[in-house]
Amino acid sequence: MMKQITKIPAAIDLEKGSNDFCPGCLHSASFKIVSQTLDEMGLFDKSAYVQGVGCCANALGYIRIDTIACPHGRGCAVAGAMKRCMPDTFIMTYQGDGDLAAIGMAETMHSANRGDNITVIFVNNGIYGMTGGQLAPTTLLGARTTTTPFGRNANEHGYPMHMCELINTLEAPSYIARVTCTDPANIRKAQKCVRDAFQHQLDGKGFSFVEFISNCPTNWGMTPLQSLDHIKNVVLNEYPLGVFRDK
Amino acid sequence: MAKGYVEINKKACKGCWYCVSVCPKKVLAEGDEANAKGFLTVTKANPDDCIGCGICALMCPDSALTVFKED
Repeated sequence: MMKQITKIPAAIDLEKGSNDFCPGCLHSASFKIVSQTLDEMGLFDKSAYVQGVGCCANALGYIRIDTIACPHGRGCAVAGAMKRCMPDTFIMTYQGDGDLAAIGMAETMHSANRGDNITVIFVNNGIYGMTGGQLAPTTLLGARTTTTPFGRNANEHGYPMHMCELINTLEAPSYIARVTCTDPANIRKAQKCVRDAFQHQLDGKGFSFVEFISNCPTNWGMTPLQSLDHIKNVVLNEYPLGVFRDK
Repeated sequence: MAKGYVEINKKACKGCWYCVSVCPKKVLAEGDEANAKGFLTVTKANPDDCIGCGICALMCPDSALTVFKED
């Protein structure tokens, strides 16, 4: 007798429409981890989800969860207001690096500084994916993008922005972690970190933040498997994984 | 008799081959059959070797794989 051991999370509806992410995009993987955790913790029908602008909005085509799509970068501000109005609802935001670290920097840092009781899922692929591969604040030094055809140069374009480390300088946030989904072991660790972050919100401890190091095979000009190797060999040297704070 | 069984949702598969790279028994292989979107989809090369570990389904970003295991 064969028993089913894997389950498609309740928040993902493959019949509803198409999953518009590119082949190999780890956005789908991080959203899958988030929705599995919602299922495990029984939060699926009492949660609301703030959708950022950018590639992460491709998820709208195939998800089944209460969603508000906010103006560019304002995810944390919208989520903080929702949490104040509906304290019993589980609120999370799902944002990319152009949304959270560039245009939404002020909202994110002030929300973290106030210690809003929300969970922020930040997917960092080091490039503006949806608009065609421009320089993002998190792009690595030397990386070629359409706006830096000779590579990112520190004198001209500055250094990569480390969001976990920045938020770690504030007093209020309660949980900060950086994870990736490049291999099964890291996926298990990411599941644990997301579960811990959600638990911090349920316990009312304040701002919890999980950064996913992601890839962009299309704009990095690589195959999906090459992009995973690039994350392991290059990107993780700049952005070390780990739990930065758990109080 | 195989200890496990993988069900492939060809509609959802996008041919990233993450499952092929992590399968410990080389059950899955890169296929040459395209789905309606034009992506090549994964195929089963050695279905009898499947042990039902579920690593392919864990790795699949697009939830295209469902794993069954002998009870």
